[in-house]
Amino acid sequence: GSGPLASAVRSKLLAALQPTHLEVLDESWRHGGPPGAESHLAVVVVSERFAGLAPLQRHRLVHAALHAELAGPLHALAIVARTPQQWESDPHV
Amino acid sequence: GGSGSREAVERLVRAHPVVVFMKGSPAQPLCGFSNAVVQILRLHGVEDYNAHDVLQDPDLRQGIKDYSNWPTIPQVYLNGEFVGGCDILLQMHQNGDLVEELKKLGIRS
Repeated sequence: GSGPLASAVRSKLLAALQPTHLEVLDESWRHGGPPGAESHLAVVVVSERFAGLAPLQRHRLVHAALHAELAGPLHALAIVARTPQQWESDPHV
Repeated sequence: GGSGSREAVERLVRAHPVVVFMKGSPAQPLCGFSNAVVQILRLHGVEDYNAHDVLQDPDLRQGIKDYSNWPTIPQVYLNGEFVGGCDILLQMHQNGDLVEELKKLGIRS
């Protein structure tokens, strides 16, 4: 994703979670939106901050960083949240 | 209050062992993420569950987000407990946790 929403998401996740790996994808077309609609984004976040946290808590950290976007234009967000150790042993989504 | 009040949402969440808040219906999901939840439940033989279409009820759509402090739809509840959205359910499907959780509810998959 390279639209304005994806860019905002990218910079906020970088600032909040200091990820060692970060991908932001626009998947709106898979959910009934036109290409570039930026209503459905997918993120892959690899961060040390997720260590020791259950999936629900990891997702809540991502949600917290994107509070404004989720309250506005972003209707759905697919999240892959892994620690650097998990990502190293299996770098696939 | 209306359908989005904390009391109303809590009643819905506790009305059945498996409750899903989604876009569309299990017969006709209107979003890929909601569809994924329906397909995962189907894979586990869970046909008997309560599904609520939030697109039919904006008050409920906001109410369920406030109730769970979770900003997106779909949302899955097992035994009144919030479990997560589509990604977490998929993860639980893949690592076997979902079978265990359903077993606790007396559902064999």
